[in-house]
Amino acid sequence: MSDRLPSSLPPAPGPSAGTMTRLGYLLRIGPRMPAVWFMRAYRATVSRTYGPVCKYYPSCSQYALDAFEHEGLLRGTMRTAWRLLRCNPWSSGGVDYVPGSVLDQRSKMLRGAPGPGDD
Amino acid sequence: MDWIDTILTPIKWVVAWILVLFHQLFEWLGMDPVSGWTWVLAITCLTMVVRTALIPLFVKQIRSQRKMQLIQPDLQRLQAKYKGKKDQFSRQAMAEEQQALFKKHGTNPLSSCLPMLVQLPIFFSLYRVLFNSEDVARGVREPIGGYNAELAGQLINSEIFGIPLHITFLEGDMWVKVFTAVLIVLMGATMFITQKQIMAKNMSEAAMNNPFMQQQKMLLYLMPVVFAVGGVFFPVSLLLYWLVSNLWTMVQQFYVIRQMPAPGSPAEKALMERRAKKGKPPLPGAKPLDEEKPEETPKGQRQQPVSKDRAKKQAKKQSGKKKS
Repeated sequence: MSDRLPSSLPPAPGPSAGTMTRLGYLLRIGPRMPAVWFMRAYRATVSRTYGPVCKYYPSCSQYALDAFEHEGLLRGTMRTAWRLLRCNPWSSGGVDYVPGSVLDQRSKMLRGAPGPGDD
Repeated sequence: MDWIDTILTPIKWVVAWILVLFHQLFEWLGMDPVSGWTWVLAITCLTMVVRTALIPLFVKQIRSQRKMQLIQPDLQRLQAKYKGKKDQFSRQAMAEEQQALFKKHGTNPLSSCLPMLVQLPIFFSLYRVLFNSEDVARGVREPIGGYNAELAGQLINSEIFGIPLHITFLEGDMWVKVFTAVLIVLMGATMFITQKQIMAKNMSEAAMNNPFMQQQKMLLYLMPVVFAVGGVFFPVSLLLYWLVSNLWTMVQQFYVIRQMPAPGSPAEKALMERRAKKGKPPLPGAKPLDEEKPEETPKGQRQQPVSKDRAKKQAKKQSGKKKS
């Protein structure tokens, strides 16, 4: 996608941050990055071949990416597994964001401001 | 790889038991327990069991997909509302509204993600069971369910056409490479045909106009190649499982496209033409052939001209109704 969503990763330390802060940040996001890269690659390739399939918004793969970026490897894995189990033929779907992710924040914005998102 | 085995333990146990029971059955029917064909049959039956168990998922999926017709007018209105608005915020708002629409109608026409992934752990569990066979046969690893050292030994020594079931493309001699290559090509072909069928016959115009369609078409050619590359690492037994599974999908898809096509697809048109020829009514809920677009609001009778007096009365009545 040409206009990819901004990532939900925790904000990187600014240019004035010390070495320890930077190292701490890298250690913190290190474990989740392979999962994040995997999901980005999956969404860029395999995911496209299926077209719209998911019952939910955002789709399971977007949700998984958000979960890994925002919550890390362990909690992200659990969230993703739980979402996949819920996305079955008997489910009625719905709007379901990873709490605190970029999409979740934007949704709250859309609801707050009068616009096409309002019902 | 031990942690993967730990996670997959329950599925491996079930897969191993199904395999063993069918092997036992064919042995009881008089087949040679050491023969590769007994194992090939057992593996084929395992595939059948798995795919049969998945049929309810599939049927439910198609039923909900067919309900798309019911919400089509509302969906088109929504699409018109957001026409040309392609920024991320508008798309998100539209997606949220679309979900609200599904809620309102109490139906969700999308097919869901789990069924597409549910076969992966089963496939991978079978791979691990087969991979563990040598250890089980040597007694280094505990039996997996009913799959004990004796049976594991029989499996790794069994052959078809002089080709051990336990060998991969990479490990084999020339004859093995030719045979596994044929299997891999067949696998890619069945996969390709299935996908191609869906794209050519079972997609509504709206789905065909999807901006990612071109990309999807390209990947249609790429995917079988990717899977073929993976195939060189799999033993003959697993390739057979995969091939039978693909064949199943192909036949199932063929049946579904013929009998329960997606709304608005060429296959649906073909089905209705067939039904018309036989003098049957078109499917309930489906678009009649002569009508291109369903009217959004039923026009009904022409408004009768009325005198000014009556018009006033009617207007009063209407407003009265609205208030109540």
